[in-house]
Amino acid sequence: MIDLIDTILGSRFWALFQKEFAQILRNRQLLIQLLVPPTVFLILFGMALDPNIKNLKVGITDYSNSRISREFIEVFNQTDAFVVSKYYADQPDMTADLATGKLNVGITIPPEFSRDIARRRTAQVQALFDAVDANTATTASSYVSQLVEDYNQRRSEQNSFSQQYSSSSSTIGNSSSQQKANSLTGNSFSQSSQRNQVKLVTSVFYNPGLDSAWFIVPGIIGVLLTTIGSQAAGSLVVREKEAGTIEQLMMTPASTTEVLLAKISPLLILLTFNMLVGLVVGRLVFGMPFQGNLLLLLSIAIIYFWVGISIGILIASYAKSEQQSQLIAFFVNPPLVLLSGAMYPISSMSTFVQGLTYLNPLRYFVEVCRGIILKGVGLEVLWSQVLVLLLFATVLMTLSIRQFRQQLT
Amino acid sequence: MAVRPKRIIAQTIKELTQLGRDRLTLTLALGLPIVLLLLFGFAVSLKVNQINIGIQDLALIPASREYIATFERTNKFNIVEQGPTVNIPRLLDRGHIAAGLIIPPKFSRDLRRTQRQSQVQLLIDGTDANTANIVRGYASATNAEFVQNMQTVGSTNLTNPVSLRSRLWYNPGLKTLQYIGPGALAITVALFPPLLAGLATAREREQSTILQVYASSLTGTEYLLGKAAAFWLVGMAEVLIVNLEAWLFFGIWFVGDPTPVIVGSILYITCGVFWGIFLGSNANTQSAVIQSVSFTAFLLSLLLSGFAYPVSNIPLSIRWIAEIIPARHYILLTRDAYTRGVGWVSDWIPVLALVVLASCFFFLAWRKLHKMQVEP
Repeated sequence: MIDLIDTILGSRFWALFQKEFAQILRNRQLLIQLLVPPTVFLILFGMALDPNIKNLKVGITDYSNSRISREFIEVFNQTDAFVVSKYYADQPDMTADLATGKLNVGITIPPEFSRDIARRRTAQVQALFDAVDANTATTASSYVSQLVEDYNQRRSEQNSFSQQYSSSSSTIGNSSSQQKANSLTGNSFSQSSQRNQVKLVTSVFYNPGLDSAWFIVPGIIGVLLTTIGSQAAGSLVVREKEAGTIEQLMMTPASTTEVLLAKISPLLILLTFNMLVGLVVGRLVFGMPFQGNLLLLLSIAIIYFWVGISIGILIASYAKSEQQSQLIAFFVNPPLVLLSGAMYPISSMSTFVQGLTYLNPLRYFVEVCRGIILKGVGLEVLWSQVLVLLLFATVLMTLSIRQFRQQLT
Repeated sequence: MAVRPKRIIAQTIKELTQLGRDRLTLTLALGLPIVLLLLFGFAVSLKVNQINIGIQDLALIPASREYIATFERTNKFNIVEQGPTVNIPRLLDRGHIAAGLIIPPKFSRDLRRTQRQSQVQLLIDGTDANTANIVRGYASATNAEFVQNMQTVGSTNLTNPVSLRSRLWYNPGLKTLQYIGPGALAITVALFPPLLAGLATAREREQSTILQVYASSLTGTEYLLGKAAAFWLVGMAEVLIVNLEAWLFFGIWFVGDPTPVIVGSILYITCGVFWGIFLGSNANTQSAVIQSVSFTAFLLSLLLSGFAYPVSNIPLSIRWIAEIIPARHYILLTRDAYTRGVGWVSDWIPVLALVVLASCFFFLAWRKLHKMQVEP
């Protein structure tokens, strides 16, 4: 045992490692760059990136202007997806505001609304959606139909119709407080006791409060570690090249592999520390749980760091100066980030682009992060992702070492 | 502060010549936007297309099969596995499905009895909150449809008190590219104008050629405007290229008066260039410029400008950050020009905001550079 420690401490690798570690600690700019932006960006993006639909502005032209129509309008106050922002006397005024984007939804209630309701005829209501954002418009229109369905149901129960159907939803919209309240037990839907009823009992797994920060934070951790890892590794290597000290390193009896390994190891330690900072921020700021095994996550993370760092070295071996390597990184990093599912779900992409994501190592790491952090699953589920990451790490590492060696000779 | 146009033009020509010699950067500056635009257009979307579901059918009767068929008919769900032995929690753990349905054995019995309700359990993967919400909405709508179908079979007078007529304006086909495309135009040209301007400014300091400028009779304002004009031209070339590309690949073109977006582009690139010069004049090394530009001009524009994630969901305490990002205002202009087509009536506010931001960034850069002497 002591022999082993002696061989490690006496090895060339250890000496180089100490040199690199001291160099990194002396490099204030790199240290700050490694530690400050990740924390700031995690907090900023965790707070700001919320795709849920909230506070859509609803304009209402109520030609009926009766007690019944006002009661109908009340449905929009039941959820925080909508806010009634303005009442209009004329529909053209409302459509003008819809055109300029001041409104998201315009509702027109015709003059005969109350009469139709009173005579138990179907009254018609028009809803206009600003569909420039197709995604929001789809969701908004399905919310409005659910609200109307709910209204119909209540109305029919009051009128005590003999045959009625039940709408199955009571929580519409993304009222997070509501969801939090009944998330664990599943949502209990309103119902009436009649024949042919089917109740859909919903339970949300892994993220019962449907907090979008829990989706974003593990993704951003992966993104930051990729970009920071590759940039830092690249600039470390290139800097030595620029300063001309790389020849001196090559003159030493140490092999290229040893030189590169010693360069990488201190970065691995810093990136691991980075990851822990990210997890703590997620916990403290967003209350994100940690369901799985921390050691497992860290060991998979280290495999992934090899991937990121190898990308950095590969870029550096092509670049002549530090800013060149950073500029090339601009070509490499955006595709990695966008095609990983870290910020934009992969299931939303077209089939062809979805196929491309399989070539992206970050995709697998983000899956691992979400799997371990939120779902609490272990190797029995994630083994395939880990295998792919190992493959990426080996291939990229070999490539980068070879490329680096070729550059020097 | 006298401004002599001849000197500005000379500066501009010098910068462009220098850029022309740097092949790698020039290729990146004109090539990267083309790649990024395609990437943004095809990869960025929050829309939920095909929902993978698993169904554990423990009832195995015609009614339960009809229930499953209702889900199939919506074309929104893609049934990955179904049958009595499907292990839903396992599939969720593995991420193979976004939601799972469990139909209990007593489904048919409960369905036939009055006073009783059949229960179907829906388990949703909540890791992606947005998708989970939409899945829940679709599932409950499908459930309602099934119930309605069952009841209309036997009953007659079913009148809804209110029927809703929905119209989707401006983008009736609900094409995401109509929304993402114009936004992507703004993001792709956000990076290079400030980056190149910042690098050129920092390079003068790094290589100490700035001392020669100080020694010349050039004033701070002329120096600033000369540099800005060079990279503004590069930026406008980028705007032209990506607009052509968007027309070719996404099929988007002006639907109304194009003047607001043209004026907007001029201002937007100006904002970027001045911001880059400001960062460059504060940085000591070129790599520090790349770092700061990629974070402030690119990452913030990408994520906080309302490109994919709505600005209205950003907490009020940090929403001011979004307001000082030029891309946030420019996106409003491109969206109007390519999908809505309203014109100046709604566009004057973002244009005004861009004017204000451009002047602010100009002032910041000018304050840093106007002294034209070595700082202690």
